[in-house]
Amino acid sequence: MITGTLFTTWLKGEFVGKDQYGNRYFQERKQPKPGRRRKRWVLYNGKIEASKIPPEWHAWLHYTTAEPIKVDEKKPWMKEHLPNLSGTVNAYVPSGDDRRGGKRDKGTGDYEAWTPGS
Amino acid sequence: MPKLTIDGIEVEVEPGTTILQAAEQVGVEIPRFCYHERLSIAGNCRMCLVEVQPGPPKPAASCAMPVADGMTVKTNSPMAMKARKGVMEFLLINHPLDCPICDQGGECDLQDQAMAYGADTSRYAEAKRAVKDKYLGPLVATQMTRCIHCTRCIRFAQEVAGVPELGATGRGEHMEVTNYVEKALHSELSGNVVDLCPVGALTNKPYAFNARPWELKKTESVDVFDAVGSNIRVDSRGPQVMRVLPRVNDDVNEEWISDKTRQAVDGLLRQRLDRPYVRKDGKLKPATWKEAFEAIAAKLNGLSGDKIAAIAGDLADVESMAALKDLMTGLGSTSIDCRQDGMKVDPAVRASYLFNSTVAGIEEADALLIVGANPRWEAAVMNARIRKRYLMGGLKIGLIGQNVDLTYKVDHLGTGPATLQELVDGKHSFAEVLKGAKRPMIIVGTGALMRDDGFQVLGAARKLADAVGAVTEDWNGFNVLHTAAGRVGGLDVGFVPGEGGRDTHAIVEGAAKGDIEVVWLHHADEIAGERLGKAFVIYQGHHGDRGAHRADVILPGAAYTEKNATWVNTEGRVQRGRLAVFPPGEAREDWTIIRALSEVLGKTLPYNTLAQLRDRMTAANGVFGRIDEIVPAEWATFGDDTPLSADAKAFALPIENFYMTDSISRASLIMAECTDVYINGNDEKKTGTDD
Amino acid sequence: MLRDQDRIFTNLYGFHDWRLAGARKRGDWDNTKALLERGREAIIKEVQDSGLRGRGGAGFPTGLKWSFMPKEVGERPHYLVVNADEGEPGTCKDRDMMRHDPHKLIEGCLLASFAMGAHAAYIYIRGEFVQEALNLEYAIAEAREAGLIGPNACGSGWDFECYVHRGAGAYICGEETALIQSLEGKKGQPRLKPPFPAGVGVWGCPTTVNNVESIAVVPTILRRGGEWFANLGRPKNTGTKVFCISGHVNNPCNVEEEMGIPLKELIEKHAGGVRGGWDNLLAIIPGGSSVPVLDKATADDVLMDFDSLRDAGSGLGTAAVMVMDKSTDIVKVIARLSRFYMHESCGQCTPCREGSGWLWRVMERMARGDATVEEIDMLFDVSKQIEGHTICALGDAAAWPVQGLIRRFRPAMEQKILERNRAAAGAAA
Repeated sequence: MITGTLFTTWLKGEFVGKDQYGNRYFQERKQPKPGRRRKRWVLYNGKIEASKIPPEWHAWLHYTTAEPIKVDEKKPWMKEHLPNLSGTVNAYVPSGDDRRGGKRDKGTGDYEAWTPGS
Repeated sequence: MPKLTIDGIEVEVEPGTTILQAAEQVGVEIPRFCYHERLSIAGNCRMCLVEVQPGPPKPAASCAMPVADGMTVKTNSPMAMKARKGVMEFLLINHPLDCPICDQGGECDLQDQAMAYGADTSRYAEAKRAVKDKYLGPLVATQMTRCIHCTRCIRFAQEVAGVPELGATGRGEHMEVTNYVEKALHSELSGNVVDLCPVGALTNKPYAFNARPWELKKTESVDVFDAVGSNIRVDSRGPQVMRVLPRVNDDVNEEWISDKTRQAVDGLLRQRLDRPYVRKDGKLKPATWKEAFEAIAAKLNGLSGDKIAAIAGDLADVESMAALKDLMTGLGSTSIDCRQDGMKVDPAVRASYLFNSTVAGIEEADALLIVGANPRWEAAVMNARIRKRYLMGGLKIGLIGQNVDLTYKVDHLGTGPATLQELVDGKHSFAEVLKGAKRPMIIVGTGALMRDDGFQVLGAARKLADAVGAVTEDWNGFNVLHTAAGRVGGLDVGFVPGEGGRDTHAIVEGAAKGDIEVVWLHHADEIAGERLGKAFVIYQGHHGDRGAHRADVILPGAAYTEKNATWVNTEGRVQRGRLAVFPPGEAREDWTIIRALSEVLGKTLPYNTLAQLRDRMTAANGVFGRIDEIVPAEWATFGDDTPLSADAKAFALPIENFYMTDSISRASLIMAECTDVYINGNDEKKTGTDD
Repeated sequence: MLRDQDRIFTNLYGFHDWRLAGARKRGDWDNTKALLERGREAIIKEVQDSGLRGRGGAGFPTGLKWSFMPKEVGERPHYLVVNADEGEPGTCKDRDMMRHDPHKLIEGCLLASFAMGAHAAYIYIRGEFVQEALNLEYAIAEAREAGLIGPNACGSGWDFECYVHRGAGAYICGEETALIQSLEGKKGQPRLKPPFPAGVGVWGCPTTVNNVESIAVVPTILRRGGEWFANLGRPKNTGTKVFCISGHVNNPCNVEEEMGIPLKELIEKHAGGVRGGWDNLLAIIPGGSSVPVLDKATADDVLMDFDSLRDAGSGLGTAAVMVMDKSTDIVKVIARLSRFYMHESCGQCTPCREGSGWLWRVMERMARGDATVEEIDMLFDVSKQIEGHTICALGDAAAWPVQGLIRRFRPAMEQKILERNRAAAGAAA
């Protein structure tokens, strides 16, 4: 966490909310001058990683919505937000990758080699 | 000769030419759907309408209208353009707009011509027609809603293929092209209806949804599934041959190919030999090229030439046979043979093993005798040519051998050599027919020559040809119909027993006895392994077929689509096949394997490039320098003059199953399905619960 | 007005015996041998002089058609084919002739066959004509027994056989080349011309196809002379013709009349006039369903022959006069005809196969008023795209009634569309 941001938060920040990952969201305490928006920012819980922010907070942070989106009811088709997993052990690998057994669908040019039966 | 003006260009053409043909001569293209050069004229699509003066004030169908002197034809006048646009609109109102999911997309006549004559929007607001799909067997897929009723497929089935199984039922907009009963189309040429169909109504079933035409690499090559040497175009994507299409060559295959040629290529992806193998402790083990060569060198070291032999198979190309012959000569062996079925011809007389009349010459013949052959299976495309000649009228055809349905009428004279002997002695009435003909033809099949009395059959056929005057200055009516693509090339390059050498029969016998210690099977898969005794077997080929199982060393070679090679068809026409895709894995072009091995054996062959090898071939036999030409063969005396025995057994046919004749087609799943449908007779459509 | 003694079909109504005895009483088979002895050239000349034009619809001079046959019989025999596949809606003349006067036709077949060097004639009769085919077969058997046909027909030394072949009910088989295809046992689809049947016809042999009426009038022409026939009617449109009057008349009938009789006179005199009087007339189709419709103004003074009707924008066709009074929904009538042509199109040529169905579907909507005014122009354009672009004339026949309707009754079509739109607007409000 960067000290400057912490200082600004202490000086000007107003706590708005906290998401399920523990990231805390702030905005400027005072109303800004005409023509300026109220600054919004986040203090990450742990490592700084932008993809950790769930969509409901992402929208608020980027001024798409005035308030963070409230999820009242969890619909069955809603999936849990996942941060970018690239580079981790949980990263996506296609089915043909050796780490997933190396079995892939047939492709152009695949041939069946002969193997001696005896 | 009538003189006419087409779009302001004056042209003089043969009488009887149609306007459309005349226009083509001056380079004016008239759009068409139903017209096809090799089919009868139907004149029903009405796309080729042009304005003709003098004449009635309405457009005429140029495909059917013969030219007349002083005619003025306008192909692009407002009247003609309006007529074509009208026809195109009518064609499109009931044609589904499913080009994105249609296999014909990109090579569709309707699509192309709609670009020129179609409107941007449809004025048709009513319901469109839908037609139930038909079952035409395992090779042709149907989407009959797309049919534009050009009737090309119907005319092809009736005229060229000779199986009147397609027709139209219903009237008006309820007309449907159908095969009446839900059974497969019983023709060896059925795949050609796919090429003929101008829209996506009939498409290639095995190739369905596999590729688009614009992503394919097109390689012009030659077919090897029979000895006709059909000209083909190999369409490949990356490392895979996707499909095979015919290439126009009026002297050979016109523009047809057999179903095996077209569809067996999926066998190129199965059972492939992609690395060398060496037998160690009784088991074949994967090896490197070096190990394989060293194993051969160890075996051949110090072995005398008369203990070494080589047999070349049906799919062997001329280059590799030439190289192998040179290598065997270097090793001191003369026991080489390219006739694994033991066919008896005289390698010294080229006329004794060629189809001397040529394929195109069939059209000039006026009497035909077929001896021990089934051209419908042994050379399906050539059989279409015989049928074409038959339909012209005035051709009498006699058949000695099994009485099979050849799609034209034949007089079945007898089943065995006795009948042939009667003809030679002039005791049979058909001899008079041959004698009375100006250009008589005698076709001798492999089935009649691979017998023990093959030389006598050959001699009898030669005597008959002489007796009926089949050989004159400008005509040679003696023909041998081969079934193997590599056969004539092998004979021409001299891959036959030299002085003191053994032929196939003697090689096998010698191997069984132990006189022959090393047998090189070069693409030869028809020699039963257990007959070779304890001999050390080197197998060179591209498929793990019969030959590979018995082998002690396997050298993986290239299939016909994977090498630049020379092939000689049954007429003696030298043609070049070209590399479309690379051989799989470690496999290499065949002649390079032999060249590399020769170095290991210390008998280095004197050529490093294909061009040098070909120069060597040309030096050995001049015909190899004359690509795609017919070099007439000198007539001479050949064969055994001993009369044929009256109680000799009947002629057998060399092919038992048209769909499986060699290692590639035996590996093909589609050919297996065809065998099930056409040979085993499971030709009715399977319903969903059958599988 | 045709005098009774100039009538050819004296038993058109079946009041007398149709068998050989009755026919002989009416003068048929009277010294046919003498007619044959005049020779081929003379018979063709006489028919040419009479100015007889084909009665099947197109009006092609019969004598000229015969003269197209090769003069000498070569390797291939010649054939006469009589087109008795009378399928044109509104037409029923051949049917009565064959039922009540079969011997006229058979005698005509003999004379015509002799004139063109044919030893055999095929009568291709519509399959639905059961009694007619039976009568014909009976009459042929009678004639053969009497030695009038068969080997050495009428003692003239000419061998002649006559066969009846029944069709299977396709309208298109009335087209001469489709008829030939059907006769050969193939699918009834018109052939491309050239070659014309006179060169390559039935089984590839020279053939002439004639309508029943064209053949049946020949014996009388030969007996009374071509000049007599030519003096009836108007120049180039000579002789008598059997008219079939149907529809909204008081007395629908077949009647033999002189060519060129005024349409109004024909209807008033023979059919008892239009139902509700001439002023109640809406439209007349003068020559079978495939010719364009005439409105009353034209029908008032048009003459019934080939050239006058052509000049009036219609045609004589088979002379089947269909009369419609003011109670008729003319759009519906043409829609029904369009359905007929959609159903009977053979399916060979694209414009007719696809276009006839299109016309019918749009006409059905027009009949309900479920269309727009612009679609009338589109319909006309589509019918123009069919006309003249097909192998045979069925494409034209499908297009012409629609074109005739649009030319003469466009206001009626627009009226329907407006009414429906108004009704729809009322329902919405």
